[in-house]
Amino acid sequence: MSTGKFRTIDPILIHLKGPMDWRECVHQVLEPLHVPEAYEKAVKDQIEAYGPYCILRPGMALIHGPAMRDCRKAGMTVAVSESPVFFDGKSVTFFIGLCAPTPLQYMNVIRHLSPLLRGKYDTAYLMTCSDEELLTHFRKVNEEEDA
Amino acid sequence: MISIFCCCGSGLGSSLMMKMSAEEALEKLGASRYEVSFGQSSAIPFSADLIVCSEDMAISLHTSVPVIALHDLMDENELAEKLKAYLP
Repeated sequence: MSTGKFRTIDPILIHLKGPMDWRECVHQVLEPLHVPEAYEKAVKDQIEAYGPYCILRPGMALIHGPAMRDCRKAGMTVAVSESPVFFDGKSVTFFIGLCAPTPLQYMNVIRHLSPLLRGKYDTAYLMTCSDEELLTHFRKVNEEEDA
Repeated sequence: MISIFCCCGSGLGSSLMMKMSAEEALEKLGASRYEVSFGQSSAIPFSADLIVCSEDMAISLHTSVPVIALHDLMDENELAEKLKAYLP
């Protein structure tokens, strides 16, 4: 049930160091969110099954799985990698990790996140932003509170 | 009425983003008779006339329904350009 009240999701900014494969990358992007192992496994299983569907724009991936009750609350990481990570041969350096306990919470986060990744906010632009600029930008993502 | 299904692996993340983009693109194109839904690629509805997904997802789909495969999921111009071909 909608309350019309929103809380800001504080993005967690991380810098990924050194070369790594996509599985390790998924782990590192999700680790700060303290998601259950089952969530991380679901994300990896889906990438293996469907290919890198998580790549939103060239060089940018949304690391996301199904809504899962064991994810205690909605959370988001923003990760910048100094080395490209390859998903099925496609190079990615900018990552957004997401989790949420319910489909409704998940969709509310996506609705706020989507406009922040359009237009000029492509990988090249976001990679030039300072940490503070990235945090300010992604703090615009809100989550509707449960009734 | 054209029924468009946007899909991704989880059925909640990028598929919803594509739905939002598709609705905006259809409005800009002046389309009036359409419905856009979203979900997992494993649950394509029988009523779907058109599927929208990423290039990578398109490779793994086994369907007779026409597929729009997007290079950049956040590029409304790419989606609008590809949707044009399917509008009456």
